[in-house]
Amino acid sequence: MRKLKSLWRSPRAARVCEELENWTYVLLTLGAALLLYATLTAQAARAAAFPADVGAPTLLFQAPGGSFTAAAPLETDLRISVAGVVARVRVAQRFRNTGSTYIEAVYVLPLPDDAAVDRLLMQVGDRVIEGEIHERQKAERIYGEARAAGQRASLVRQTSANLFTTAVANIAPGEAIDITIEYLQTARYDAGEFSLRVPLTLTPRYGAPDTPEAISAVASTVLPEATPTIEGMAAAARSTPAHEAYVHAVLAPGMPLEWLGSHSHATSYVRQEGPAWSGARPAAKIANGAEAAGRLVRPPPADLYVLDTLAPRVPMDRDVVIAWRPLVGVTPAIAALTETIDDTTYALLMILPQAAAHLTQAGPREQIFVIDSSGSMGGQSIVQAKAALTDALGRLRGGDRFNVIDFDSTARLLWPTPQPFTPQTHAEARRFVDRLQADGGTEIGGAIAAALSQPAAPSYLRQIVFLTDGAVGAETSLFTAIERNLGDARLFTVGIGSAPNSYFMRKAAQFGRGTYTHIASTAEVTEKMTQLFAKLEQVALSDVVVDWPDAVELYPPAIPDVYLGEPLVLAASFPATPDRPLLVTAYGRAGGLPWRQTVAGAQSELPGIAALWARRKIEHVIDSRVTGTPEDLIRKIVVDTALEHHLVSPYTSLVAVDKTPARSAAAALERRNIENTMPAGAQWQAALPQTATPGPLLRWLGAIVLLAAGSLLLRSRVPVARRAS
Amino acid sequence: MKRPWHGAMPVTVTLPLGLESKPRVRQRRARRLVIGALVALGVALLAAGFWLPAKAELAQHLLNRAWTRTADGETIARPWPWADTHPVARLTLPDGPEPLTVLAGASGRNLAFAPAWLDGSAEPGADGVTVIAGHRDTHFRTLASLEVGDELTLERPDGSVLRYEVAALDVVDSARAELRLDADESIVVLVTCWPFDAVTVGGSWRYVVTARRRF
Repeated sequence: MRKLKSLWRSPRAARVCEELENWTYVLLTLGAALLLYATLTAQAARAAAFPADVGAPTLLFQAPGGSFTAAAPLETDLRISVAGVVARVRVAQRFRNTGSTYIEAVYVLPLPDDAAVDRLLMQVGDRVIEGEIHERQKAERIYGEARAAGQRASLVRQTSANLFTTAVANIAPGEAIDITIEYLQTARYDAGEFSLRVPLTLTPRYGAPDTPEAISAVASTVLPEATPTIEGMAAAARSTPAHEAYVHAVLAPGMPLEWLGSHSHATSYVRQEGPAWSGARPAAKIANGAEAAGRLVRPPPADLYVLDTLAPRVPMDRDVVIAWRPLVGVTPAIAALTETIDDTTYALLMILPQAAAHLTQAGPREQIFVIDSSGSMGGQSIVQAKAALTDALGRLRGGDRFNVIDFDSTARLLWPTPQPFTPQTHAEARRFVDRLQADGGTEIGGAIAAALSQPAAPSYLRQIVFLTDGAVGAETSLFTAIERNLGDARLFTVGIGSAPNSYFMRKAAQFGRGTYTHIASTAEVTEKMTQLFAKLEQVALSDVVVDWPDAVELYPPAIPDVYLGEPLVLAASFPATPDRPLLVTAYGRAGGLPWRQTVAGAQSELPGIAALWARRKIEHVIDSRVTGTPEDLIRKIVVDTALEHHLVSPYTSLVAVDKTPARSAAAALERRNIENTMPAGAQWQAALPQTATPGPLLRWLGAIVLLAAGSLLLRSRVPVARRAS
Repeated sequence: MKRPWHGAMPVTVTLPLGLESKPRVRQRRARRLVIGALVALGVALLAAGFWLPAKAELAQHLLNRAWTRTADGETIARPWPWADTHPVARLTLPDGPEPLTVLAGASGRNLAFAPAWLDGSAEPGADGVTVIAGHRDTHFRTLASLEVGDELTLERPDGSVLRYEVAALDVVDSARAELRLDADESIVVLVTCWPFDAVTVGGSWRYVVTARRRF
């Protein structure tokens, strides 16, 4: 103890204290640096912070102060009218401003791929303003000017094939503006069933890329981009209650039904007598779809069926699908709906193929199988492709001729010319297929050329079955090659693997006048090949020629064959002949025999045949980009067609302006994105990888430690200098 | 006898006992030792911190060579003999000086070398959503300057070059947000950590760039 006490007084103790002091200094420097670092990190983290939990409301609006406010969900009223294959859908949405400042609301409206949007109505109180169609830039300018002038305005523009954006400017505090959009679409027909899908949410978030590059490249200067924002994503990521819709559908199928119902919602049905859309009185409530998605089997004949969802309002987290199955006749049914505007008649011709039982076998066939064995087909894909091809070979019959072409970087033919199907050739082909291995590049062009240039055998129907994952580059030139060299052959594409290039497959089949089949897994091979061979063996109707009046403009211009379970829908326009009724005669071959049918055009109960024709024309013109139509010409034709038919297109928008000013120049306007409800039961990615290295952290720590060392060095130098003096 | 005192100070424990008679020298040495240790530690940390981006850069050079071999027809060209991954595509960002070679499989180790393709997602260029993840501070640091409408290109082993247009830029919480993988066209989704200037690792925010195939 004494020694310790003396230590305090000794000069050595002072040094010890000095050393202690140094250490404290180093620790303080380190501490300060760490504190600085922690502050920086916290700041970065704060930038990403969102309000914790807002509970019930769906929409999150950011107020000027940066805080988040909630608003009422969007109210949607959906009315669907179906006549035959034509449907007119009316989407009325109430944009309500519950805040205390003027707002501009932006909503992404999902619509069907083939929707022809031709009407916009803006209702403010009692006043209804009808939207006008303008070229897109002009429409955006009109909207921008009205917005700046404080007038209520609304703009609808197409952002991709199936996504439209609605913007509503200058909604006063406490006010509601109703925006009504009307569009036409056609019912789909597949495997004997008509269905109509009305999207309520962005289920297919990524639509077909048909927005012309010329437009997408020039960012809109006036219109808010409907790109999801950080706030929007935060709102969407949180499971908020959905927007709700009222759904009401009126169906006039125009034919006796096997059944009708909804695949998506529980519905109730009311049967109505009387031909008119208005004035018909409910005859009887005929059934309740009490199941999750109710259907009505063999409904009593009626002119109109009225469908309502059992729940008065349904969440907008899934699409509404209405389906009906007609009783199928023994010969292809044919129907022509017309609409005459001024001196032009527009017609929609629909040919339904017969039921399978009534089909006769096709004549002798020559099938050329093209199989992709390139490196991209490695793994399960080549296994599936080989299984599919082996299955196909087993379905050939005596009298058929066939050949197999395998390609990767080069094309290899099994035989120089197609051979008759015999047990020997069958065995040889199977051995050829068994030996295939996936490697090398994908040179599709050579294989297509080889398949199309095989010497033709007279009286044989040539069918090319193309099995690939479609991992190709120069698609445009391939389509051109198919279109030019197809002749009388038909090209059927079979997509292999979980994610084939279905754009290429669909378009190649379209140019090849065949169909596209997708085989997603090995388990599906037999089922899908059976379906494909049903189409190959039983072309319901081929060599279709339609006798239209003169000067017809037809879409699609090349009439495809009618395959089992797939309808043919043609849209035509021609000069009106009011004095005589329209008679359309279609000729073709059904089951190897000449087929002919004449149908009288019937005035469509729903207006809009012209709009549907124009929509098909626009689609065809945009498609023609792959065959080399110049961009300027595409734009000009699309703009002219869309303006004439009052249609929203990639180049045209609908705009409505209420001339009465709503907002004084002094009042501020806020922009709000209204987020769509997340689709139900969607597939999601489980986890995202950690995507940052500790590099920055290590560099920070390194710098801090060096700083501390430097300060210590400085500190140790000072006393030495003092001692020297 | 003075050891109890010095014992409280960790560094001095290492001092040779013979120096106790020369306290000043000993003290200076202690200081020097501490400074030396701190400098060594700092330099080591800095070196490690700079090695990560350097490695990312270096790996890209090796990968570019492997890519050339892939493009020449080698199905699975390994960038180095013991690698168990291979290049699947090359990605060009608008601000990137050189194309980035993308590796198959988004493991932490692959990500240190290159942006990596999530092998559960669609193959690059195929229909569906192709997810490519990259480190925010190395390969994908230029994502911060991307804007909607920018063009990305993806080169596939067969030499085909696909163009994509940035359609959306989102910040999502990976703990809560979900990424759709089905699409009927080719979509490329680039994922990196967010915020870009954060120092710590392990955050749940992700910056998600969605780009659609342009024809």
